[in-house]
Amino acid sequence: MKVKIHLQLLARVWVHAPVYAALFLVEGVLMGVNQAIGTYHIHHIFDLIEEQAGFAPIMHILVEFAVYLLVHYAFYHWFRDCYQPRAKERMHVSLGEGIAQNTAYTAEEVRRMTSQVDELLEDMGHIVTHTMAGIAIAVLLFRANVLAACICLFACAVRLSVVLFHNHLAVRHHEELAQLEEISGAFNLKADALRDYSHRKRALISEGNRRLARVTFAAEGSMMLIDFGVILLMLYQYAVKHTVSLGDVAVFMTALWILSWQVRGLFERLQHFCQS
Amino acid sequence: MSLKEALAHHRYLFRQMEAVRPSFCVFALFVAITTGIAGFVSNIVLLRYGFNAVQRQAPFTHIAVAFGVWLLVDLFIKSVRYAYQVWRIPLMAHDMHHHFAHLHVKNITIKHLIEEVTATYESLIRGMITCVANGILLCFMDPHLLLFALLPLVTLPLHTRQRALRGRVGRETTCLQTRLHGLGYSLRSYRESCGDVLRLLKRDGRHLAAVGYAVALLSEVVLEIGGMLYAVYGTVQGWFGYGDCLIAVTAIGSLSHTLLHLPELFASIRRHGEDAAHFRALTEGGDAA
Repeated sequence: MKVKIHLQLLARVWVHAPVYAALFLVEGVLMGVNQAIGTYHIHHIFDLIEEQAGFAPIMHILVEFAVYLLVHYAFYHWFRDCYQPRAKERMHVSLGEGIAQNTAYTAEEVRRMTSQVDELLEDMGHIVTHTMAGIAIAVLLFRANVLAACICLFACAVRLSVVLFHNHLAVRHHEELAQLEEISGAFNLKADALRDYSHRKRALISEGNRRLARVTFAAEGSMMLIDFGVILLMLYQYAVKHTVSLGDVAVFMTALWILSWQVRGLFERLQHFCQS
Repeated sequence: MSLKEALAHHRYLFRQMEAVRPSFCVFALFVAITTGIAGFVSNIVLLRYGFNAVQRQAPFTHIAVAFGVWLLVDLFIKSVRYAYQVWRIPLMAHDMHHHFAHLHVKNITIKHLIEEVTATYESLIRGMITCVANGILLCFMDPHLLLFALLPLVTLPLHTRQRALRGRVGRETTCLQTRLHGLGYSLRSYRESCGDVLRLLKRDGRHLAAVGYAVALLSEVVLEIGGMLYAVYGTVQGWFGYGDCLIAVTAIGSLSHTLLHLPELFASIRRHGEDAAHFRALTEGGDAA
């Protein structure tokens, strides 16, 4: 239900400020691709080092990368510091007028809606960034080695399911704590009862948080095991089997962590988008 | 509040924490130091070792054993860290709240204070370890690499200017908007007065973008590309191994970013010093009464 309302709000932004919304998408795509560009260059550089191609072609790649970074930062700072704050104010007025003309919302409700739109646009931008970065990194990993890339994707899926379970446990734990606080607040407790309540609360915090710590450790530990395993597999294929290039190994060593962060970031943003 | 005063208030807070739960601070210090070292070893040392070993055609079993031993140590350190962060800190907050319950200090105040202060000191200790370890490593590999890490420090005044500008724009915009909404929010009044906000954003936005671009240019482009160029040149010439080349840019980035963020950490120590002073005034006043 909330998602439907959020999508309707975003559709209104698209009608009233199409350039603003489109630039948010463009920024998201650029930021996402930016995450993978560095890794892409590292792949090429290490392959050239292995081929002993000399310094000139490597320098050519790095100069290209520098020019790309100059353009990227120029766009980023123009958008974030010059364009976006002013376009946001204009969009608030235009969107507010549009909503007020067609519906019976009060001015205060319109104001709240426009500030919610800001949050939704930020969420949308981040969702696009994480998705693009995840896809770009996954493509680089698959190009380097299909088996190791499949293991990485499996690791991401494992991590996501553990994070889901962790969030479920955390919500339940907070509900239990809130329930206990409610009971103690509803009655004017005497000293003995207050002490008893405090002991019960301590036991609840101890038990609940210990469980959460275990689940967090399980998630991170399993990711670490898989990451180390994948790096060892790549080193083995390079050093013993000679089936991958030096650039392929370098890609895995640099992109493994980035993929994991992007998938986690995407999940958290989606959750925020659906629940806010 | 000066840094010295803030540190004195934090010391008081740590003494109270130690009184309520002995050895908590020692445990926290242990966690900060071990995780700092572990992060450096797994992100830098191990990758360097693995890649260099492959280049000199070391037996694969040696590499696998080194990775395996480190994995076990890292898993142990991670388990201690999660036990501390997710389990011990909330318990500590509860115990402190229970201990000072007679003074009616709000639970949220104590919880927030303990979480923020421990996180800040943990970041500071880990940052220092990162600086020292990466500095020694880069010096050991090639002292010229240190220059690339220290070069972005010239952007520190620009960073300060950027923060000040951002703060001023934020404050002035909020002030204007509050004034508009305070008059009784109406779309017409908002539209008419929006011009002030837009003029302000136009004037300061360009400034902010220019400063931001200069910071990015110096700290990201010069650092990343310059460091990478030097490391690759060294590898092509045979001064560096493959592993050195791979981790040089990571080590340079890690060292320079930590150095650039140290002023922010000291600022947050000062900021939390005020909360700690408030807590001290409450507890010392309450105990005296």
